[in-house]
Amino acid sequence: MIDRSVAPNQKEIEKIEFVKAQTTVFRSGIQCHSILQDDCKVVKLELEFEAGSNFQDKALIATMVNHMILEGCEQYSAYEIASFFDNEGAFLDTSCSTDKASIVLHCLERSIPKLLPYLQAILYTANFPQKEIENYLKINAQKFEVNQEKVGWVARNEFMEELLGKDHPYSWKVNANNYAEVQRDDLISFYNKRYKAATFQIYLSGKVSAEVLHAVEEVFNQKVAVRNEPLIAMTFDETKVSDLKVIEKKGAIQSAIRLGAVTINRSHADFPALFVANTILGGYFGSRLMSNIREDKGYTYGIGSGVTHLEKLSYFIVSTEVGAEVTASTLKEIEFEMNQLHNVLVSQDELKLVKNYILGNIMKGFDGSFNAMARFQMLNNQGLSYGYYENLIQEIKEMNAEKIQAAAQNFMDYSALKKIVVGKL
Amino acid sequence: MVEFKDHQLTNGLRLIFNEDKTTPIVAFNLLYDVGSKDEDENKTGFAHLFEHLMFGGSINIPSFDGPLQRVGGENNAFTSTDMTNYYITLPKNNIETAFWLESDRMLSLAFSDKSLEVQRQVVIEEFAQRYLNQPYGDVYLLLRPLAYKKHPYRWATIGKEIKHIETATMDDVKAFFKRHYYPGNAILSISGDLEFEEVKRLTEKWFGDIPSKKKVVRNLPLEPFQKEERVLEVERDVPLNALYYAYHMPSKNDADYYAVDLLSDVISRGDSSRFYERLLKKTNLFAEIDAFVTGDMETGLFIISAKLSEGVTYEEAEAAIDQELLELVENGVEVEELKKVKNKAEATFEFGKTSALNKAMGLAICALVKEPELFNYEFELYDKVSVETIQRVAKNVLRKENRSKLIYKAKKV
Repeated sequence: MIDRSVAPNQKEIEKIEFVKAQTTVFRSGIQCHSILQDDCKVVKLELEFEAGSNFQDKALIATMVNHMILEGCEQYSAYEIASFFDNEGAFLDTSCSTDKASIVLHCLERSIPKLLPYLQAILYTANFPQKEIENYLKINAQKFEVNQEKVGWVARNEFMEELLGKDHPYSWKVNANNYAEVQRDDLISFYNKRYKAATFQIYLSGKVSAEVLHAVEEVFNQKVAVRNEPLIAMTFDETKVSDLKVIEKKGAIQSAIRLGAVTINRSHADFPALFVANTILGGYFGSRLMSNIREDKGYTYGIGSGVTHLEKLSYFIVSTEVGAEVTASTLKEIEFEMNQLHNVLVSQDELKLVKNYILGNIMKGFDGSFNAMARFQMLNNQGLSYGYYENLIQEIKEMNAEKIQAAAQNFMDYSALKKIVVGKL
Repeated sequence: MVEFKDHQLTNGLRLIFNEDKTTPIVAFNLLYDVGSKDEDENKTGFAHLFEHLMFGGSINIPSFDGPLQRVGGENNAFTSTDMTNYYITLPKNNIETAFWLESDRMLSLAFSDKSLEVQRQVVIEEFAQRYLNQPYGDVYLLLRPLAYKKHPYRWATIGKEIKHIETATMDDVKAFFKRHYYPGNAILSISGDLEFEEVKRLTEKWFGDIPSKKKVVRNLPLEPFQKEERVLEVERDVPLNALYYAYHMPSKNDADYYAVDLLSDVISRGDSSRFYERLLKKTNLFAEIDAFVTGDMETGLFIISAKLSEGVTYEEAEAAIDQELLELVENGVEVEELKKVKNKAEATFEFGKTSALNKAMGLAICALVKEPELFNYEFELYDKVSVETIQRVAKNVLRKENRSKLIYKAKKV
């Protein structure tokens, strides 16, 4: 009989292979990064622009241009464009964050030669038809009303404003009136500056054969004349300490909680220690916040903490949705867990578990070309090299309880967090 | 082609293995043939509550998550109307930890009172977060009992009402485990850079001595044929009026299932689809409109869901949708239109084969539905569908008498 109470021998994660991206500079000056995965039939092509919401001088413009770039160009209507991609069974999507905006194509490798010319037409000759703009505004103004009913959605937006102040480019909060203020000229001027004449990056993963790479170079052949100007100033009042801000929502049976503070970025020498400290606090299923607030008390379906890295700043955040009647108790428990990290050294047992969990997770992050490309894209956008991961892995292997405690004391101070509750306190 | 090996232990456990040399990560997927359709109508939400309890410690191992995280692994699970599926990904050199953990909880749980009390509370919060505290969150809690009168699909996986979760007892929990958790009711599917002989040896070693049990024969009540349209009207505190149609459709084992799925794609998959182009963009009647199938193994639902633009009446909205559906029934679809959604299906299948976890899970689910080979030939079932078949199933399914209609009105303040 096997002794089931004893765990099988555990093997250490010695080495993590990084599947690395190859970078080609096209004749046009555009950089194309690719990772080949030979055993599949599909390709992911992402065009990434310096066109996130922090570049806009009016609310909604960046997201709208990003979405509406697919809604008509000189030769083709929105319907025709959608048809070309749908006919091939391809998925053409857009995404817009605070820093970057992307056009993303997922398709069978065999469709690439047929679809690239349309992508080219969209990129260089989008024309934002008035009718499509009106449609977009009408539909999205209504979706906005629906989202305003979601405590989590409201909390996310309010949190960024609380964290950085309402004038900061990272905290554009949309209000219902913004939908009436958008003009076609705003979109066209943003598009001209940030898409059409701007440099962009190409990320290719999956079945990136030599033919695919060549075809991509052929269509994105326009010389990029204009470099993007630097961001508008991003200042915020670091000294501002706020009380807990409560936004009451009548009838809410759950409250959304968001707590956080601006923190160090990935290049900072203390970042690996903060990374481990955060994982212990709320960065994985077995974290202390999950164990205490979900698995011991049952206050929530989920709670987590994390460090989010935007290009110009990073912030630490704790977020959860909890039963309205236990909102105050949850805040107390979060404070308790953060203080524990200041006051008591992490046990060797917990430290070992967390180290292995993180290493396994990094390994998974490089599994397959699509994941590996997401890692590269992060590095590229933050001005980092693969050395970042080599260093992080080494630092994690050598991490000790004292470093974690110091990181918690320096970067995770409950009293210094900006705090938002949407629902009831 | 995703190659796999299929093997059954003498206690009934089925093992499916796909060798994938390209990844350092192994996907370990254990599927149990139990879903919310197996619940007692007075104790609904139980399969899902039970899934939570499976993480509360087993007979020889006090914590499930800890030892797995300790070897660099991660796991999750889901419950649906038809199945409960547990999955782990971990570095391949620690694969035995997955066998150790999963086999122990198949052998027996710890059944701790604390775990039941806490998970009961967590599930109540999940109920609140996903279904009650979201605008339109309770739609399927209303639509299912409208569309089904006898079949257990009439309650949602989360449960009919919170009270059933609140009143679950330890005896209920134990009885549920005994009835549904045993080797013959499970499919273990693994994908990764391992040898089949080694996987077989580990499966025998850890699962081989778990006692076998005769498979419980499922005897679900058949849903009586719907003879007339059903309508339910509710008022909720939401910004926009919404409208839902639910039509009965064939089960996953019926060849027509694939035609109905493609029909829903023709109607609303992609920005060149009929609803998107003709209703969302041309008419301005809707803020959102969608058509999809629930994908259940037994006779499922074909659903149309729409949010009406401000100022649009239900009469206008229904007339526009009904006109589109009528056109499908009377004129069918174009060959190109069908080709397009088949291409979408093909691309989706191909993306699904790019990760070990997708393969392991896909093979297990196909084995449950019919046979693991289905994972490789399911696309052909879509590809075979003709425009004639699409029109025939449209005629069969999109009948007013086959429909349940939910009018979900925004409360005027």
